[in-house]
Amino acid sequence: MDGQSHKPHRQAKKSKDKKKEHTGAPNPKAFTFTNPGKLAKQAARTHDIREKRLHVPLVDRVPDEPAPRLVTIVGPPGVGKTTLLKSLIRRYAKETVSDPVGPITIVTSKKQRLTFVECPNELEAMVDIAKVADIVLLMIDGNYGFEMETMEFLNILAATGMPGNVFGVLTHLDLFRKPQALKDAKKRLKHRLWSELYQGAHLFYLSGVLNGRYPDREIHNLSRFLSVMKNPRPLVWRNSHPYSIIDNYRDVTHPTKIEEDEDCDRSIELSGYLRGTNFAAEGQRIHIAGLGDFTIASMEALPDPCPTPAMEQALAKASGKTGRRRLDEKDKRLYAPMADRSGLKITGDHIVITRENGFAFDKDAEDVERGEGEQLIIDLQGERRLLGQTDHGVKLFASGEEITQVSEEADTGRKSQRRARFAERDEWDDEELPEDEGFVSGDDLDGSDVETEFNEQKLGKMFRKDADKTQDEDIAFADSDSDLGSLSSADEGLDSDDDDDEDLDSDEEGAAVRWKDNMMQRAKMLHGKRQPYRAVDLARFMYDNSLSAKEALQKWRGEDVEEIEEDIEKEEDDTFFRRVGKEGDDDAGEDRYIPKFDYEALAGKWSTEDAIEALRTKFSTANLVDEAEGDEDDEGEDDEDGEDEDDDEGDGAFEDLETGESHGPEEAEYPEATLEAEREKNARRKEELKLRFEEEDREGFKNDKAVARREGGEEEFGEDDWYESQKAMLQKQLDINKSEFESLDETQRASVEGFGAGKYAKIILESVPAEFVNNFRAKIPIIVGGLLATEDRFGYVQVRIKKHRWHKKILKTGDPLIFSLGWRRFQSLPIYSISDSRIRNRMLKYTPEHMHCFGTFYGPLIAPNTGFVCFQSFSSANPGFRISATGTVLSVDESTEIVKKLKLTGTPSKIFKNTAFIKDMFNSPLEIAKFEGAAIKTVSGVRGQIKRALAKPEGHFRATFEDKILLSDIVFLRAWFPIKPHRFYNPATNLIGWQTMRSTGQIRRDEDLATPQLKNSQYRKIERATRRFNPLRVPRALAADLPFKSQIVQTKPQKKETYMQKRAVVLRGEEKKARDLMQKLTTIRKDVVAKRRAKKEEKRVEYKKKTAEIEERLQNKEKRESKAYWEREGKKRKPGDAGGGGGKRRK
Amino acid sequence: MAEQKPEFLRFTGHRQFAQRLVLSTLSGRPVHISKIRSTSATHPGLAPHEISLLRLIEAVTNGSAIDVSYSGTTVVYQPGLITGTVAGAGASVGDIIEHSLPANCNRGVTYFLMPLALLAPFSKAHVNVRFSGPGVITAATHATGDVSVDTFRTAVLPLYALFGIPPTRIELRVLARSCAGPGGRGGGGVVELRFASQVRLPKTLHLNRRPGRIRRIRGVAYCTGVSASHNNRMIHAARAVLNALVSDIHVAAQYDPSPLVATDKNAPGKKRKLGIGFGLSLVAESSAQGVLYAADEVAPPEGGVVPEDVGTRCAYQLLELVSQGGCVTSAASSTVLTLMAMGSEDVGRLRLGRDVVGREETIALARDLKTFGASSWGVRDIDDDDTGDVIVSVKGTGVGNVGRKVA
Repeated sequence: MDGQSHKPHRQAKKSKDKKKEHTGAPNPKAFTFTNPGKLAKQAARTHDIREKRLHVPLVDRVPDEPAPRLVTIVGPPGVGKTTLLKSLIRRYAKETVSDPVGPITIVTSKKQRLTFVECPNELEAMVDIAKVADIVLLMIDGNYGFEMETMEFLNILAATGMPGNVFGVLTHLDLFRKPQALKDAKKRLKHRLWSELYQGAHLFYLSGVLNGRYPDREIHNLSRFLSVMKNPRPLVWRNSHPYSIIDNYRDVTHPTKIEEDEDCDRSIELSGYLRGTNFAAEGQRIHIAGLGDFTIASMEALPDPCPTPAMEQALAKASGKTGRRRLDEKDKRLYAPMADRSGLKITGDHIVITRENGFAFDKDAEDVERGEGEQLIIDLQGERRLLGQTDHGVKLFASGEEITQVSEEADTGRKSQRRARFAERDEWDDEELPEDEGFVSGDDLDGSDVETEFNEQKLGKMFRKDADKTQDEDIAFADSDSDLGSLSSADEGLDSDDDDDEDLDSDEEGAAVRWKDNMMQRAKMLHGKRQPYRAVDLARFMYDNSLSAKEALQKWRGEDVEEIEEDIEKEEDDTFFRRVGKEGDDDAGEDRYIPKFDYEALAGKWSTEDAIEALRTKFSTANLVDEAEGDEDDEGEDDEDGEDEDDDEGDGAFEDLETGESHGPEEAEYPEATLEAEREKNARRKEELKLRFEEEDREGFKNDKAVARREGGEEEFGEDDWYESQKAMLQKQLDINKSEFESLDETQRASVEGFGAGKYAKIILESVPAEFVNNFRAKIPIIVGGLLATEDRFGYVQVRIKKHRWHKKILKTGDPLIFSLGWRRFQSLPIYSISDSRIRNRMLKYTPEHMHCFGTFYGPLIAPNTGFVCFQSFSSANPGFRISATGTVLSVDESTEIVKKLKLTGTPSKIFKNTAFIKDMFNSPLEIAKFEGAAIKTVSGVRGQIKRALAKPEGHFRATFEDKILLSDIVFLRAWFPIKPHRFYNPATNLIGWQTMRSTGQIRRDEDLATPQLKNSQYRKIERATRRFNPLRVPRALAADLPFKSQIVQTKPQKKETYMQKRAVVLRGEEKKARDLMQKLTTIRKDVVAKRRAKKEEKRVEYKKKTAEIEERLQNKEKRESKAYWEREGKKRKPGDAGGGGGKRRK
Repeated sequence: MAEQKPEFLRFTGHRQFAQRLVLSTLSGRPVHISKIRSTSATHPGLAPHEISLLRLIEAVTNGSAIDVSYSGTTVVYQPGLITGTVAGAGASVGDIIEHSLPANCNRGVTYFLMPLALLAPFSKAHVNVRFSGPGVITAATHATGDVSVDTFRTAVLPLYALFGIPPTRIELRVLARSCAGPGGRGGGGVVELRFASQVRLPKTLHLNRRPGRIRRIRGVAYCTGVSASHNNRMIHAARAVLNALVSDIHVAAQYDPSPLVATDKNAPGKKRKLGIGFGLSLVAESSAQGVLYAADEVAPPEGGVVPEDVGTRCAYQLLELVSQGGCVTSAASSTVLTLMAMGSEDVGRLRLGRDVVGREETIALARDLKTFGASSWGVRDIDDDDTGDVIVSVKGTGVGNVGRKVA
């Protein structure tokens, strides 16, 4: 042990320079960064991350009680959509629905509901559902992988605005035999989904099917996820449009109409939860995808069919009574009107009622809970009654009582003297009046009291027994009416009744006089006590179209309309044109911005000191102290203002400035009084200053803005909190909206607010094609989308469009294309174009392959920035990727400016120096006149200009060029020809059957027509004649004048014969023999070679035959093997016999 | 081609003509207006200014179709998209549309400016229009009750700022002033409106608080073709009334020679002086933001009024308007209410004086707005003080500007 030596400590690093002595001064390094760049980078990074989180603040118009979230289950057939839906229903509602079609709403928690919709495997339905879905459950066969429909749906979603919540659900995972294969498949599919959606997108795994449902544990996990979902960022389109997904529909056409004509236009009633923004109170334009545009005939909010427990509690609290609760009554947690729940199912025009225990009912049993369908059957089973034979009485008037029997005495005439109605009213009103605020509530009450006492008097003249009208009565009516004037004008319900009353009462003079007296008193009293006309009345009169604007105002002010009219009546007899004259007066009036003033009256009013002083409160010179005091005793007396002017009041001492006298308690007290007055004055000035401060200071409690700020709970935002402040502003506006609606009374609120989101409402539409009812399928989701004002208009829409990279073919200009834009799906004929150096839009014949281009088509004017998807057809017949293009709207317009190039060609007919006459470009001088001054060009690039048309040969013109052109030159005129898209709009009304426009190619294929081949468009062999140019000849005189340097050197032709020219060559003797021999030898050689080749060819054929045989054998073997392999693999992939749910696997 | 045209909204009478055209253009609903002065024996049918307005709207829109019946008593208007001044389409001189008003026009130029300014924020491009010709009256008009361009510039245009429409890019240039000519017809002014603030969706506004206290009074006194001393006399008279209430009064004086207008087309040299007169426009500014009261008074074209009278009347009118209360006066209320209705789908609140709400024009506006698809107004009394004002709450329709391009 001793010998063991430890590893010695490592020597501390020797610093090069010796550590300095500590000087005692602060260490400069202690207060700096070790790594100066690092902190900056870190800060930059955190800021980057923070900024990335921010998005443009959007208004979130989701109400307090929102409509249930819309969960759609999407996937190819056989993937297990229905099974999942059933499992989820089972999980949430503990109910089994055998055929879940249509939207199914389920209460999932205390405050939340979900509406489940299964999206059928039709492209139209997928397109529609993508526009409204809040949560998407994307089902994928794990054993098969992604299918075309899934990818299509994902792309549609991306183009119409991706909802935040898209979840993948992998099914058929029990078909994997090896765990490793399952694991791999999961991983592969997960990453594929991630690259489609975003990194970390949720994917759920569902294995096999038990009892027709997925395992409870897995469904439980999924449902947990659905329940705790947060509100995602709102989508712009849904945030600015009202919409609804219809979960029930009824044909409410009158049966006789259908009986008359089977195919008559129907009126239908659609009901569903309202979503998005508010539906207008009346006249809302809507589009039903696949059906068309409609105006809502009437709309009505219904009680929520599937309220959450929280809502029920709130309702119970508000109404003060708890709902009827019985033990046997289940909570209504499921609402599925189109599915066969509770034994009733409505499909199109017939109703299916299923009942397990047969159809024997005890119809007299009172306290039995019956389904809707059962009730229907009971009603049917009831004994027949004749028309009009009811238990109910007869109701003559809408507001009247039901008469069950006619009393015997009714016919015996009056038993007691009839009393004037007004006398009764009088007493009654007298009692009421003290509490009565004025005419308004009187008005309201009037409706009810008229009802009660009106039963006989309200009857028309025809019904009256003593219909003995005389001329006198008429006169009496007239004069009493004028008396009535003020009353009836204020009381709108009355003036129509009055004449009747008086007719009746005219025989009882005494009574009449009595009530008249009374009435005058009453009217006077009312006038005296009248409150200023109230705004609520105005709201009512304002929209009463039976009144003219003038009359409405007069009514509101309680002025006498009647008297004026009565005057007219009086004079009507003698001056026939009076009325017309009056209208003429009305005609003469023009809209004025400056109201008419009576300046005499104004001068009278505003020249008085009092009036000016009264107005002073509206000016900044107002004395705030006086005003404050004035406010305090304002409740007592009103005309305090006059005395308010003098500053010193209270001690009774004041000075009459006009007379110079001073009135006061004592002269002797004057010095003390002055001291006191001084103090008082100072105090007042201080007070005044304080008040002014409160009003003008930013935080002052009398400053309106500050008050508003405090009320709104608005926080202060610094410079960096711009985002927060924007969000707060949006929230504040939302709060204002809410509080403002709440502050209005009910009638006004309904018309101002419309039908808010979250309500359950019934929408009635008129003149819907009968095909909708006949072809109705509950599986297809029906979506009602509200249209904004401009979306009802049509024009040219310019879009940025890109052919989808998975779509096989490029798109051709002018070929029909189906757009899904806004709520609508329609076919139109787009023209593609591209910006040509930002000067013009040049038409493109085809869309570019991997590039955006512009498209212009005729369609509804949808606001810019809206996305869309295009299809060539919705049918699943073509196997390829059906989404052909996607893009966004750039702008809308009523005209377009797309051009295509047009080249006009001509040839010179005569050439002068730089001038030439050009022919064959135009046909008439008129055409030329239009192009005067246009630039032209020859092929060789000589530029020129069109000057004028020639008189003589039609269509020839004079042009000048920058150089002399050749007769063989072709002259071009480059022009641009405007292209207008066809005004073609074909809505894709798949719900009532529609036909698409076919492209030219399709028609040719269908009709078996050959494509016409224009001769001029065909390619020909290009024959280019070799051009021969004449040699350049320089005139001898010119050549002589040229300088020596430029002298053209030309060799003179030789005059003497050359050596070779002089000699001829001739073969002789040996040479000739040798040549002959050589020729013979080559002939023999050639023959041998040819023979050998022929032989070789023969052998090659044989060999080829042999190899082909071998090849075939090999191929056969391969085929056999691969077939066997796929047979084996295919078996693996088929849905297992355990689930048995999805029997609809295609292929 | 299953394209259903929305049916025409039908109106009768000549009242609210400009307003209906504006609403129709903004909402895109076609209108059919009949019985326009059909009972008038002397001047049935459309008046010159109304025809001019139709032409103006046609010039700033694209694709609108106007059909006037033979007698002029019926107009069918199918609105197009508001394009503004687009080079090559309508804009004749540079980037400006030249609109000439006929000599027999008896409305002030603000009759055209008010609707035009309402359309301008919803336009695709800038709206630059120059009004010229022998019919441009820049002054207030006595008979027809139009405000002067000064009032429009100082009391109406600033209100656009409240809707998030930047006021710095809105400009009204008065190039030549003119009062109404003889008989109240014609003038020789030149006015140019340059409106470069186009918005996607104007926000709504909340003027529901007290209108504040009036701090100062500004104004313009103008006289064309009469002695410049008229200005001072008007200002003096107005100040005599107003000085008791506000000390901060500044009224600018604007003197112009009367415009020369060619009387005969064939003889361009033959010119005469037109549009002689004087008037005063006063604007009272309150301490609350956006609260302006404007009064306008002008000498009638037949004369016979001394400048002192015009000054005092204008001052009285101002006092009367201030006493009516509310945050917006009747001259600007239709502009504000229409913008609120066309803006974002929020509720805006506007405090109006009882007499401003209780005008036939306001009622008619409410009805027209409802007919054109906007939701109706909520009307309620103010309960926290005793001014008797009314709060009108308007819910926007979210129509906004569809024509505006992106990228």
